[in-house]
Amino acid sequence: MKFRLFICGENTSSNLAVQNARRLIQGLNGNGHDLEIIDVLENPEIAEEARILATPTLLKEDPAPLRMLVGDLSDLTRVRSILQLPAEVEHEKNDGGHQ
Amino acid sequence: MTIALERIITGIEGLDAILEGGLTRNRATLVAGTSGSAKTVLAVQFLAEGITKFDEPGVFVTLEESPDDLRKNMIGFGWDIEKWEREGKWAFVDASPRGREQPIVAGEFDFGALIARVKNAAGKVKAKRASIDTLAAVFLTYKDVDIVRRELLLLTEALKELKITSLITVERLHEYGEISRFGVEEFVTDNVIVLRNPMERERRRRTIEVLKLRGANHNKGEFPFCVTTGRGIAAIPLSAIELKQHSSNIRVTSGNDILDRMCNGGVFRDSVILVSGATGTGKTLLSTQFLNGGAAKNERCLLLAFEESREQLFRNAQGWGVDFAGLEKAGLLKVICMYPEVRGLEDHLLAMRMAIEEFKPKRVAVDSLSALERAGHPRGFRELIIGLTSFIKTKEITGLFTATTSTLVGGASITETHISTITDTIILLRYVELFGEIKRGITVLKMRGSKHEREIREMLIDEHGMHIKEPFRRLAGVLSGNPQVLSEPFSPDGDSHAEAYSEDG
Repeated sequence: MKFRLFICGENTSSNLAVQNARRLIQGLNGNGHDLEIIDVLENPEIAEEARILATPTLLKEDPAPLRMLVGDLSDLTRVRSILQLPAEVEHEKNDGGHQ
Repeated sequence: MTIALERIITGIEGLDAILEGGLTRNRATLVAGTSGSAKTVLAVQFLAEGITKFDEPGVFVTLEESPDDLRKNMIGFGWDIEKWEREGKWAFVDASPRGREQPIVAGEFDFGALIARVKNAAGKVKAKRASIDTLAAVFLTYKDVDIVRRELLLLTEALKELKITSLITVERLHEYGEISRFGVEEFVTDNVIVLRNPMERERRRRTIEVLKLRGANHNKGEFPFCVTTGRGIAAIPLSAIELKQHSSNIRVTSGNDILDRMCNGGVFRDSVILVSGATGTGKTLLSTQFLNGGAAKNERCLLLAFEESREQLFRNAQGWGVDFAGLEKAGLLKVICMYPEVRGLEDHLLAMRMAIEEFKPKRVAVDSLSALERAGHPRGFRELIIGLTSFIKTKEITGLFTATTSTLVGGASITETHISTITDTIILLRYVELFGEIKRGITVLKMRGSKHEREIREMLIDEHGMHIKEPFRRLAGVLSGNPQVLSEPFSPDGDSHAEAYSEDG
């Protein structure tokens, strides 16, 4: 799968989005998944091309259809269901065990 | 002591007069309007005028229409966006949602990307102006009003830092009531302009109102405006231009020697004459002679006719010994016939102004105003008269308007009561019943800033045109149409050159 994450400099929501996106990728089955992180302050042209308005924005570009998520992705369960990804089995089991 | 804020001339016709000198520099102005109120046209024109008139490049942030649609839709106004893009004077920030599903909100976010893109585009073209069109799209996508308010503030701050003057359009649902859809947008910007497009008498009547211009004076209230092909928005700043009229003391002929004498040597050049009378009293004849008098002095004359066809007008003129066809051929006359009902009064005003600008006449006759009056709202009609009068005066043109009275003898027309204070000179044409005969009478009722004759003279019409005869003697009540014969001359000393002097309307 191919993702692009647009962030705006160093701030709380940028950092959270990067962490969450990485976690999302790690939870995916198999290899060859790609996450590109683009700072719009450094690369406004790329944001222009992709017509990005809000930050953070996560684009799932492959496989189709394109999906666009806006926000720091803090509710990963919701993010996964929007992207129709399987639940993060191990971590969630562990979390459940602690409670 | 207050320091006047620096202004930026928008270049949009009429708007700068309403703003009393343009928008305040480096500030953001919210433009609120219902759908179809010409917000996008205004937003594009703001940049277009900047580029063409002041060499001020601009950034256009489109949140609704695609850049391609805008390029195509705006070419009809004469705005070649693509060319300006090539020349590096126009940059799009494309945030239109075309061909893409709605983003899904998952957590905290801001509009950092938009601001970064605006800054980038502004830097590329060295922008002095920006338009953001329209915020409704953003609100619909991101339903959090607080976020939009906060981000809008950040955006306007960023524009201010870049020393950019900006317009931000926003959609309203109703013509009156809350300014903006979400009720927060207007608090973020320094200035607010409202565009309206309400129905009045089965016609759309566009108006523009400057609601707020922080720290600066502006004209208040709604002003009509038109949107026309090849030109865009043109507002009609009635009260604003009315004050700037200047008048000259140069006199020109009315086209009739005796009438000139009645007016103490002719009418003033930058003045407007109202000719009022019932049907058949000679109004069209008087305007024909007025035009002929100008053409005889090699002045270009324009006739704007709303009642009779071209053929009819030419035939009439021929009947009075005036050769309209020959004058047109010589380039001294232009006759434009328009049907009053085909468009709204604002559009009529604009069409008349454009005709005047194109032909550059020294004289303009409008025959008749009453026909126009029937085509619109009384308020719109008054605005048209004010707009046309002031336009004529600033162009150093002599104007003659005719108005038809509804009753055959005596009486005043509605037109007259509406506009008599606006016109400088009023000439009355009346039927007079005398000894069982209908005669025609003519008198100068008022002439601002000049002496004029007060008597009512008899007027004859034949194949050579108009002949003004001696004043009616020993009669009273001529204007009412029912004169009484007096046994003694009315004037104690028998002076036939009694004069009056009108100080003002």
